Amino acid sequence: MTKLSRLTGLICLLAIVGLWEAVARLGWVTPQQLPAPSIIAIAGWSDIADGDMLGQVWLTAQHLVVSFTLAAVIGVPVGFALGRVRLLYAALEPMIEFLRPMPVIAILPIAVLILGLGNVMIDSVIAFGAGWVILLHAMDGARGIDPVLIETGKTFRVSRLRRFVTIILPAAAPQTFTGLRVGLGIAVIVTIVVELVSGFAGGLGDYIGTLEGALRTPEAYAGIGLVSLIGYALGQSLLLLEHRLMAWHRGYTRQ
Amino acid sequence: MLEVRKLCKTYTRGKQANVVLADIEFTVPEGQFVAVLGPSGGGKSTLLRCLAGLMDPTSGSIAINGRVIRGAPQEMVYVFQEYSRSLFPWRRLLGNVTYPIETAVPKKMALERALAMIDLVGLTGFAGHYPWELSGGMQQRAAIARALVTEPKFLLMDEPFGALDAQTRIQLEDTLLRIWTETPRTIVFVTHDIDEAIYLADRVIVLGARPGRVIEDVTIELPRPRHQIETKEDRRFADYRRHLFDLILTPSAGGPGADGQGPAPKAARVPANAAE
Repeated sequence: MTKLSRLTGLICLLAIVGLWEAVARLGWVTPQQLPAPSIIAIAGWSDIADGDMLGQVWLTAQHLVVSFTLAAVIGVPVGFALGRVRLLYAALEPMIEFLRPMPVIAILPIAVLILGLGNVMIDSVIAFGAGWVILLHAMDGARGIDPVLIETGKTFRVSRLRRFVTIILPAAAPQTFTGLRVGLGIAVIVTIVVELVSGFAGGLGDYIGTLEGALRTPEAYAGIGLVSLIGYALGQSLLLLEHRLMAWHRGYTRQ
Repeated sequence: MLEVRKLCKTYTRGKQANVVLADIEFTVPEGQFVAVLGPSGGGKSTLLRCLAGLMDPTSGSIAINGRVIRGAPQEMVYVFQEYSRSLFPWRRLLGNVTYPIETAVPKKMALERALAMIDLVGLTGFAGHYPWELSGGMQQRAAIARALVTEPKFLLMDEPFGALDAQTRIQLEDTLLRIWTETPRTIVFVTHDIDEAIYLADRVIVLGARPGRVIEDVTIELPRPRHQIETKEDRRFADYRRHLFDLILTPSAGGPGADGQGPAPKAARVPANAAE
């Protein structure tokens, strides 16, 4: 991104926050509906200073990291296998299309029955929610590799292992990374939802739910903002990693 | 010596059998530059893909010095028409050129050989560029350098200059002839361009379409080194040209009015970012 477009984005963001502040200050909305950003910032800061919120952030972050890693570690290799082995694709693709739209919230009670109440259950449910998109992107990336690249490898008689490492992996990497980024976003949402509805998990989701119940709207908004911030920070780090690993791809696609 | 014996290739789709190659036979002595000429959809690429081991023939055999080969043979290397899709976009030019030899020879040697090939094809100074930073002509030069780095005895080229503009094409033809003169090796060069075939080759094998079969084997007795203007002004060049035109244009060769039954022309599949 150029400096100009960064600046434009920042100015736009500040303008909207300013408008929001004005609307809240002018009393067009009640503080219960939409408190002013300054009020939210102060409430959030005092919660963080109390140390209340940070413990919850830590819990949420742990769930996020563990479940996202689980989703990636399973989703990417399975996706590659499905993308490159035709028989596997034929056998499993219909089942995946059937399992994929299953709402995570609906399977939560079943997950509790099978895995009990604990981190294993929570992380599995989040990974389930985030894993599909990772798997599907890796699968499409591996399936859609230009056959000329594969044939180029064949004409140079490279081994299957080397073909995988030097051709299939880099060729499928850009799409796989897109899947990881989308999956991370889903993982953030599902983590909060699971914390919110499960009632025992703690974390930011639970915290936000409790604050909303207590009509402490500014603090609840602060929590929501913090979730977005965590999601943004993780997403940006992934993007940074992607740019570092695949500098070629930005030039190749003329970004 | 490369021997092709009774080579047949049939595609079956459902109950329909499409005979693409029928009893192709020819022999190429070592060091010869052979052009395979034919109308599009005539099975030229299929023939070359069979030679390169990218495709199994339905029947018949291919032998190098009497030894029947299967799969991609050691001594051969294949240059794709789709240079932009064949080069690895995640490797720089140097990395692309070292690719075929980097597990076989020590790193330092691989680098030296790759740089020598980059010089040979006229890309000195571009080793650090990514393929997509190079023009179409330079990309095909890069692909040729990558093919030559393996020091192959046989170079198989599938309409390598087909997607290039006329000027770039002329330059690459002469580069190829220069390289071939410096380090003689057997070249099988598939093209649909009659002038290109005569200009480059010692011999033109003419394929007819549907089914693809050898309809004539023409020895080109034009003096070397060849010259883009003088060679093409030679009386004999015009004679060859007329003769080959007649062969390709006769209805039995399946030439003009070829009705799109064969595979789609390759050029149409080159992605948008290739053509510059």
